[in-house]
Amino acid sequence: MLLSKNRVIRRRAVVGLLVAASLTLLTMSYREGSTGVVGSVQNGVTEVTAPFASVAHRVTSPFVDGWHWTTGLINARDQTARLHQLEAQAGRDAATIQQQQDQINMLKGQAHYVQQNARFKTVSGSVIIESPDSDTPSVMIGIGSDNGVQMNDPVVAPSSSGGALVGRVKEVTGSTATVQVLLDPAIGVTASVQNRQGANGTIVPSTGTPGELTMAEVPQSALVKDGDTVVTSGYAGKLGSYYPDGIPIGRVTYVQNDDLGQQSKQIQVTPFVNFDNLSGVVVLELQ
Amino acid sequence: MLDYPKALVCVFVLMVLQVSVTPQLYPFGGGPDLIAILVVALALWRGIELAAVAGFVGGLLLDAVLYRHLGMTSLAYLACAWMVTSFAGRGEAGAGMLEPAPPRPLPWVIAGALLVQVCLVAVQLLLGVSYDLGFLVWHQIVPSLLQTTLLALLLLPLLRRLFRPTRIRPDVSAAAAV
Repeated sequence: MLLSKNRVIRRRAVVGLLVAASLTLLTMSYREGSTGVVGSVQNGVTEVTAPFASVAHRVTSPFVDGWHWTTGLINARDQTARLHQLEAQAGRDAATIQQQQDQINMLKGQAHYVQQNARFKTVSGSVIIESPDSDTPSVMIGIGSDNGVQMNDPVVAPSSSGGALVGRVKEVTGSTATVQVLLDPAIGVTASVQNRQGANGTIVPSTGTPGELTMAEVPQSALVKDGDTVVTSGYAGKLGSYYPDGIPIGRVTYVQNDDLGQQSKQIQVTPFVNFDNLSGVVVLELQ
Repeated sequence: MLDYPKALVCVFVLMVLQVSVTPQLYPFGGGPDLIAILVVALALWRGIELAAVAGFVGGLLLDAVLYRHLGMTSLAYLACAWMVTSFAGRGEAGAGMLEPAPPRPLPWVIAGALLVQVCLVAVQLLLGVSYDLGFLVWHQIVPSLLQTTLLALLLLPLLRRLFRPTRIRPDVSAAAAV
């Protein structure tokens, strides 16, 4: 029992001494910093251990290099996969941004479209079904009689720089309306060439060139040049036009000057409206 | 008595490995605490005296090589040795100390390594060094604990061969004398 007690006392003494030594060293180290006894002890220990550390470093360096090579390979594969993911994500984001930008442009155009004819008010709508290439080209829009849309109301495509004629309402329900576009052979719009005296005619789809328009029945005497702007003439009266005057239709791209004694000439017109990519329209309602 | 030279050699070798090799393998902060593994193993298999001496010397060497305040890490390892011997049922009474059989060392290695980290942080705070707690936990303490645990799986069998636990029965003659 006496032996056991001595052993206990010795162990407690050893642990107590070590704690006291640690606290003393800590205090000295904190006071002296890297100078004095503490600094010399640290330098001495470093000098002793440095060769061993160097040997250990050299011995283990092949394994360490192997480890780094393996982890680097795994990281490279992970990074490649991640880059592919990011690339796909960036593509999706770009498409979304482009779509949103188109939507913003369309809404801006609708918001900034100014109707100058006091007889009409405007109602904006979106295209929900588009079929410009069918036999009877038309688009369906998401507004109808509930919004005040009526048969034969003119429809324009707004843009930030103005608007251009799309066509007129052919059928209407409570919440939708079908618009007969300028590419429909059954449509005919009275038009004139802006700033050209007597250059009046009728806009119909071009028979030879899909997507283009023809201004027919223009007097031979009228002077028309490439680049001129064609607008609606919108004459009033009992058999007046459905369209108010001055709505841009397109730009003259070719003038057929016939010298064979014909009384009228044909003009090829490229419409301002891109009927393949029509998203938003404005319906002009008669007040 | 052969335990002391063996323990000191182990301390030196593990300290050299800890400062020269493991920082290359673990570039994510932290780093395994090999000395803590040794201290816990000695505390479980040889008692507090040898564990405290090994912890003190190991801490001193680490502080000296890493140019930290001397005695700081020694204090942490001493606390670790005390905690393990006190709470693992490895009381410091001499005769019969190794009865019953020592518990599984791995949980005690984790607890001991955690205590060392906490003690180091506490001493640093007392010395006026401020830390970002989140950074400290996720970039120092947690990685260090994980790496220490992984290396303990390799190191403990080796240490067990060096310091095989011996079962000493209570001192019957001393009890009879009473």
